[in-house]
Amino acid sequence: MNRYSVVLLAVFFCFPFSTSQAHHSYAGVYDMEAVSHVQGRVVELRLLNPHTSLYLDVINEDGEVEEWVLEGPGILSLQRRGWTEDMFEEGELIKVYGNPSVRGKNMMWLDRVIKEDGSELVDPIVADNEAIEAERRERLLRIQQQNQEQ
Amino acid sequence: MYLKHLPLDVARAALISLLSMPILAQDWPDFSGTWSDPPPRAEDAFCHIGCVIEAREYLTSLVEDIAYIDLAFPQLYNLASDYQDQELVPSYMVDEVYEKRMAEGAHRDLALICDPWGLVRTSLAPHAMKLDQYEDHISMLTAEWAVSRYIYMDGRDFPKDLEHTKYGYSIGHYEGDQLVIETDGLIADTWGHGGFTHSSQAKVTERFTRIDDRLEVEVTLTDPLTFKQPIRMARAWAWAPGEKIYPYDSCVIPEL
Repeated sequence: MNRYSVVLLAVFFCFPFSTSQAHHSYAGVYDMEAVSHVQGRVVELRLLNPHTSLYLDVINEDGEVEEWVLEGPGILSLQRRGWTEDMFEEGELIKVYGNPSVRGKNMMWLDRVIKEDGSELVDPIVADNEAIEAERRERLLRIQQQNQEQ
Repeated sequence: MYLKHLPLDVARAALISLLSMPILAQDWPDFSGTWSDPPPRAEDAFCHIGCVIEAREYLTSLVEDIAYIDLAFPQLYNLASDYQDQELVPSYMVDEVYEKRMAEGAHRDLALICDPWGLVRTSLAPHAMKLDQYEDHISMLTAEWAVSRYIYMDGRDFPKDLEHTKYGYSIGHYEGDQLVIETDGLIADTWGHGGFTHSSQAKVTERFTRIDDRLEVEVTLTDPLTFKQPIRMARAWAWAPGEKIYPYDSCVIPEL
């Protein structure tokens, strides 16, 4: 398994809203049931169709720089959420959560980015799922409460 | 020097642009423009890459059922997706075809070998789609694989000696508020994320309906060599006039 001084954990905790259902095509590339995170410095963000690439320099525990590629949703989905190619400073330290490569490559499917100031950037599909779930839960809880009152 | 000719060039460009603009839809429902991912809604999220209509109905029943209140939406999504891929679609398939499909084992998705999808999957492709209506044809451009389609709207029938291609030969007409596109002449191909295939006898009917800023399509796939009966699928788009379709320039074969 990987050995990084910066934290890279193949943590099998689940985000409340997995995107596994949204990317069946890539189920053979990324483990959509697992969530890992990696921390590194931004090299470049390229917003592309069909998928975006975020290049990151990660220092492993031997002190060597390793290149990582975080693949994410396409330019249209991200632009709609305000993403731009210059939204990160070159060399900016970020932490990225996502689905790890099934082959242990330095690749990940991007779910969310956490910047140094604590602000989060979320995969639009994850954000949509959160909105759907919040609306549904609120509606069902209301119905449940009404049923109990009757 | 260039500025001296600019007004004429601009006028010429404007005239060409005007002449090449789609004729304003007066005698037919207006579908022209750019459409993209629909707003977040359970059924639309489930069908953003196309879904079988019965599976969508199953998802709706799960989402609305208070008995499932403790399950999060993605879990319900996966239940409906498993139902679609493992029960519903196989139940439509001709037994011998399904057994052959199972014997062949896991399918490698076309996306992983940078091979553009055929018409069936393209008709349900995610993200943006630009549609322009003209008197005698319709043009469609999809963001996924940047596929450009040409649909004849001049009342012609399918040619007798139809050449089979990945996107086939499409003819269309209007039925009330609906745009109906029929496609024949497809080569055998793969559709859907379950890796299911269709034969070269497949025929596709797309029915587009516009409800204000929402565009819905119902896709009926008929293929007697693959399915016991036609299978109906769907997806939806939202009106997105500000979006442009970018070149499909980053298909990279993932390292496996």
